[in-house]
Amino acid sequence: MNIQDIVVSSRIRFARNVNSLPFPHLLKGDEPKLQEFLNIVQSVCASKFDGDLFTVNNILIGGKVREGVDDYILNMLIENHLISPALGRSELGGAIISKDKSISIMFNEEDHLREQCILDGFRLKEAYERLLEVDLALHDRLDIAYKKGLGHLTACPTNLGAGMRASVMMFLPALELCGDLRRLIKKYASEDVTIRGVYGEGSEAKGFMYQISNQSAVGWSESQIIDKMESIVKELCRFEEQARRAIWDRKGVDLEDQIMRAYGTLLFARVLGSDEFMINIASVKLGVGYGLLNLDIPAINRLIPKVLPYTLSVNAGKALSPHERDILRAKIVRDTLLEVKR
Amino acid sequence: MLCQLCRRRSAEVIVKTDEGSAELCETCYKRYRLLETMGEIDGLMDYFYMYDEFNPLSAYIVRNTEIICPSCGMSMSRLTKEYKFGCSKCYDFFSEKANEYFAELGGQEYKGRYFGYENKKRARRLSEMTADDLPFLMKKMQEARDNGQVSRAEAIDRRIRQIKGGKQ
Repeated sequence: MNIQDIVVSSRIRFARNVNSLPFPHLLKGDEPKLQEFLNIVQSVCASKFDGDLFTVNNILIGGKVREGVDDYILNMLIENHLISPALGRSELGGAIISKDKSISIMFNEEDHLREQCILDGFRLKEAYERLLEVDLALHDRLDIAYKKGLGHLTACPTNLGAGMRASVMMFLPALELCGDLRRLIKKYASEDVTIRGVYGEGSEAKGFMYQISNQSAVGWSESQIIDKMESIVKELCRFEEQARRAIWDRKGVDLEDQIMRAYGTLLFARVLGSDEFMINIASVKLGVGYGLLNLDIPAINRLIPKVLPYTLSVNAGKALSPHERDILRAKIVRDTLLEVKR
Repeated sequence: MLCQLCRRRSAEVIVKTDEGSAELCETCYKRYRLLETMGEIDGLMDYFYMYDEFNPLSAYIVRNTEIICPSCGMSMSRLTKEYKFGCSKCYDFFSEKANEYFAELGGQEYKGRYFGYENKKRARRLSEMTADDLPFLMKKMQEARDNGQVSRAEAIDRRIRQIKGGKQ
């Protein structure tokens, strides 16, 4: 089995603050040095990538008042993981997001800067390298808060040190179905690594999509964090593979029937709800893993965010009712599945 | 602000203790340190009580005033409750609390990045600059001023003064 069929995406995030401003939870809009900070962030980002600026509310940047985005765009950015839910609640928050959506520099979230890079597949080191370019440029222009021994100073002490979080989004249906995932969640929690559902609350995950990330890693170097995450991801891939074999041995044709019915539903449905889509697309991906279907997994992974509720409305250019969304979702899914045959 | 003890000279030193904090002038602070070293007083409150111009109001303020970060206004009680520092200077001001949290989180010293990026440009921090870097720092400070980066210029200027003052 290809590891890239299990690992959906890789993300690196840095938390940074500047010395000249109170941390965002104490920051006021009229803070004299806020403008200088925002101007520098904007100019560094412009020099490193082609991106768009979004602000949660109306904020003065570069001498102009930037109008806050509407709720649809804000929620679309959140459901695509381009900004965090916490940023959506921030009075002075915003983000500069690269056109290819791989880099997002959030400002005034929990820390002054939350820099992140998301790449498809299992590419933690590449994501780190890409983000490092922007981070070094920001270090060069800003007086970044840093203390010898403690590392980068952050609002919450759990982010001290490298101020870095490495996350990997994984598709783990077999581990969930055979009940092993709960045991693994406990096992990794003792190593400061969390596993939680990407779409859904707590450990419950719609579509069997899970985010695996390091928690506090105070004192760890960036390379130690990435090495550890890579070794855990590889281990999880091995467990998932074993679980898939075990389920196949147990269920065989019943599983094949479930997968093919799911594929049929997605290919022919005219009205497709969000939950129904997530359940069936997971079965289809599992079918590709078993070699029953010949489809391009990365293309399917790219389809999932496109049919999320707010993304559908934003791409349609108008507020859609739930029923209109279900009709549009069914059409996009049908068209995409026909295109992604390998 | 006037010294909370003598109320004549301007306050220059913030004294932090478990009992509370007080802003003292240089003279009152020196006397406090001397008496404390000699074992004549038992803490800040005791000092206020024994002071020849004993002022109950000052003593009350000291007893009831929270320790507040002078830079951002974050209080110790809020820090403990929210588990969030208010600014980078809080890490110095509440250093005991910071060290306590640090120890709880494993207490492992951060030694910096790195994979194999030796060939890449590495952003050196101002705190790592030494007297050898003074010409470079002067140039960078001028560049920051020319580009209107006031905070950056101030930070470099601070470091230049530290180096010139003997702090490496």
